[in-house]
Amino acid sequence: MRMQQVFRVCNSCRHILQRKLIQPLPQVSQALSYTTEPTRYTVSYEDFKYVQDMLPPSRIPEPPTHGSYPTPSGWVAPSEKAPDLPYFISRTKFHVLPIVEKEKPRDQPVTVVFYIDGDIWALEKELKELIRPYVEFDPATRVHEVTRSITLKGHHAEVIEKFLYAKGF
Amino acid sequence: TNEQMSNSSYKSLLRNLPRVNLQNLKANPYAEVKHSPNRGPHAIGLKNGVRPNIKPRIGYVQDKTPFQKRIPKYGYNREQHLKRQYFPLTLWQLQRHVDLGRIDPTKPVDITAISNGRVLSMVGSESNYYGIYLLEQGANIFKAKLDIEVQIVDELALATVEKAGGTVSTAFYDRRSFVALCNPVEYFLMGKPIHKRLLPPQELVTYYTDPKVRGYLSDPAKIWEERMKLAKKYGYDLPELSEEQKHLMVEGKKDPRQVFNGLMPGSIVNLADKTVLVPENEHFKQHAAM
Repeated sequence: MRMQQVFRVCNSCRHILQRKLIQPLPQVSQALSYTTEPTRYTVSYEDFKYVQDMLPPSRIPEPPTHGSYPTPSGWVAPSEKAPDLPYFISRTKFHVLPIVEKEKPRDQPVTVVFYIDGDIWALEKELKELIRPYVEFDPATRVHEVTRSITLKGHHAEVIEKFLYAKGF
Repeated sequence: TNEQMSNSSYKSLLRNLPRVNLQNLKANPYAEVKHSPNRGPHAIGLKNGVRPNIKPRIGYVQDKTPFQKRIPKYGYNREQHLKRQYFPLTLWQLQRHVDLGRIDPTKPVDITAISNGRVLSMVGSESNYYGIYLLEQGANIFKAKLDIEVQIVDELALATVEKAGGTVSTAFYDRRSFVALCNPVEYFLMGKPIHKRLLPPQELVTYYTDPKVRGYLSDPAKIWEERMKLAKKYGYDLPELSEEQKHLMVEGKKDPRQVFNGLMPGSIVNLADKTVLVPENEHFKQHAAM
């Protein structure tokens, strides 16, 4: 019975299906005819100024001089003359002091000072004395001469930053 | 003879007897009867004639689709590949990079300015990212006067930028144009004509036509009212804008179908000769205006 019903429906639809097939295909619209046309263009030197604004700088730009320090974001510029000390600390590419607070595995808090030139051991002595009031025991440090860095046990970035800004780095 | 007789009798017998069928077959007398093991819900398998104590898997119901299969499940990460992501940018970060000279406050700040100044390490082609989300962290120290274009903005962040004398606008970029804006040099070196920016999807139309968030499809006259309302809410005096800023808000606005400012879709950039090839045919202009 069900098959008969299907056939009956098919028969009734046949004339609709056939009509669709007989119908001619839609004509190609006139808008598509422009593809045959050759493209004309003008060479403009003036519009390149918009491109020039988008080109990235080839080097890191030097920071401008401000009236007073610290700036709104808390940035302090290094002194113009290098301080007369046996050691020197250079800034990072973001123009901040290279001090990092991190936690080793087993939650051992540690601060690291990078980019040290000259006498590392003289700086290490001064940093030990600086941190002594904030630590219960004798301050633990490690000096790495190859990577030019000093690691200190505990988080002391703020204290060291103030100390180095006062020196003029 | 005897043999001939016997043969013919057997043949006649075979012809008359019924054929061997499946229905006729019977087991041999005294044959062993092997019972198939009962595979019910209570125990599975039979080992060495002993029923082991193995229960069926959890949720198994005999002759039924189990509960956990019948009901569809929706995970936490469902349709995550379709979700739009945004790079967070704080006001403190903006202020710091203005202090360091990486962002030029005299020019309008957009995705290209932020990626060229290395404020965010944006790789446009990385994932499903659609732009920048301006956050309110650092609102207490923000003092720079900037004209920013971001994709989403917080209300307090919007208020602080306008309090300092700047302007904010939110604009939608599709994935393709966001990748192009992150690294325009790589895009121009492909040597293809500049494509057309897409309009926002249906979910985001309400956001980008809203003057409260300074949407780029909203009425500029209503933006002035909303600026006054926001100043009243947070209690500050609106500083007067310069003529360049007013021009940028209304007439000098980037076209909603433009990817790069000032460059018509369909034109090609030549970086070697420092020129832009602009098409003249009318259908290019029609395509750009559509």
